[in-house]
Amino acid sequence: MIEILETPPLNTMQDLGRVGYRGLGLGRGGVMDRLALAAGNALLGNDEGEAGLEFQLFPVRLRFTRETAFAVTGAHCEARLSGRRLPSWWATRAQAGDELVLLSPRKGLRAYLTIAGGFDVPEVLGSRSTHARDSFRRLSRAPSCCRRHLGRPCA
Amino acid sequence: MSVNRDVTVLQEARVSFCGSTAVLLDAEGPLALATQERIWRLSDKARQWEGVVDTQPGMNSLLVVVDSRTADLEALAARLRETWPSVPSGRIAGRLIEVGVVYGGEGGQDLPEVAAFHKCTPADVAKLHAEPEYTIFAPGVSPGFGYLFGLDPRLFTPRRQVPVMRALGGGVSIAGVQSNLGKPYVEGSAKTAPTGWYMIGRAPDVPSPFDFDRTPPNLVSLGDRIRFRVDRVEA
Repeated sequence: MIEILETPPLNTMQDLGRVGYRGLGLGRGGVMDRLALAAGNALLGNDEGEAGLEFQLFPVRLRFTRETAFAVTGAHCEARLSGRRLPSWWATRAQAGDELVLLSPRKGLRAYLTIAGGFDVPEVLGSRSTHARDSFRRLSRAPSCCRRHLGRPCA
Repeated sequence: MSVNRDVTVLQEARVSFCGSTAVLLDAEGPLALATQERIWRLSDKARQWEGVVDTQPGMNSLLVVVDSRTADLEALAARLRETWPSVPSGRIAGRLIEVGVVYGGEGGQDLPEVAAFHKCTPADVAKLHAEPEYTIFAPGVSPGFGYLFGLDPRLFTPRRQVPVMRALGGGVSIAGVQSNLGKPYVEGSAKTAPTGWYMIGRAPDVPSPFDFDRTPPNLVSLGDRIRFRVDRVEA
C-alpha cells in the first residue's frame, strides 16, 4: 500500500482513458502523456494501460507501507527515495517505510508513478481514470484517495 | 436579429480529419430533426465498423473516433462519405419526460435580461419556452440531458460575449438556437461554473439522467423528448 503524505490538488489516478462513452457525454480522460505511462508500466512488466498516478502539481510526498517495485517517468522532477536521488525514467524497489518525494520538474509538466502489478482500484466503465469535472463520485474517488491510502479500493 | 448569421449551412456533407484519431462528418443543410435522426443511425452503424472505438453525435455532425495504431483514416473518411447519403431518417421512438420549472428568481436570474432582449415580459419568455417539445439531439460536455432542439425562433438569443458564473444543478438555460437542462446538483461537486448561456429557470425536481450503478448508465437517450411545465414565474 502507498500512503500519500502530502499532495497539492489535481493529482489523480489515470490510465489510458475511458473509451466508448462520448455518445453519453462522458469524455475519455486518461493520462496527458501516454508514452510516459506506458514506459513506466513497461519498466515493471505491467500492461501498458495499467493505471498510474499522474502528478502535475508538486511537491508530492508519499510512503510505501511494504516492499514495492515502482517507476517514475514523465517530467524530470527531482525524485528522492528516503533521501536517495533517483534518475528520471527509472524503476527501482522501495522498502516498507521508504518515503518518496517528487519536487517541481525543471523539464516537462507531468510525472507518473507506476507500481508493479498496478493499483488495486476497481474499474468504472472500463477504466480507472479519475473524472473529476463531472463529480460523479465513483469517478472522482482518486483525488481524495490520494490523500489517504492507495493500493486498496476506497469509497 | 439573426443568431444563425455565423453558422455555415453546408450545401453538401463535408468529411474532415480531426487529428490522427478521428474523422468528422458535417451534415448538409440546417439543423433539422430528420437530419439528426440520420446522424444517430449512422452513429450506431459506424460503432460496429472495424477499428472504430467511439462515435459522438454533435448538432448536425458526427465524430468517429478510431484506434490510431490501426486506423486507415482515408478509408474511414471514404466510407463515411459513401454511407451517409443512404442513411434513412425516421422517428426513433424516444421517451417523453415532463419537467416542472420555476422560471426566473434564484437560479433563473437571467430571465429579465432575456425578456428585455426580446422586448417582452418574463412571463412571455416562460410561456414561449414551455410551449414546444424538445428533443435530445446530441450529448453535452458531461453526462446529462444533452443539447436540446426545439427552441422557438422567437427566443433565439446570442451567447454572451463574456462568460458569467452560474449555479449548477437543474438549471434551465438557453443560448443560440438551443436550450439546456442541467442534471441535479451532486453533493460535494463544484457549485458554480462559467457559462455563456442565459439561466432562465430552475427545475427543482429534475430526475437524474445518469447512474453508474446501472447498465447502461444513461437513463435518457438521444431522441428522448423533454417538455417543460411552467410551475411558477418569479420576479
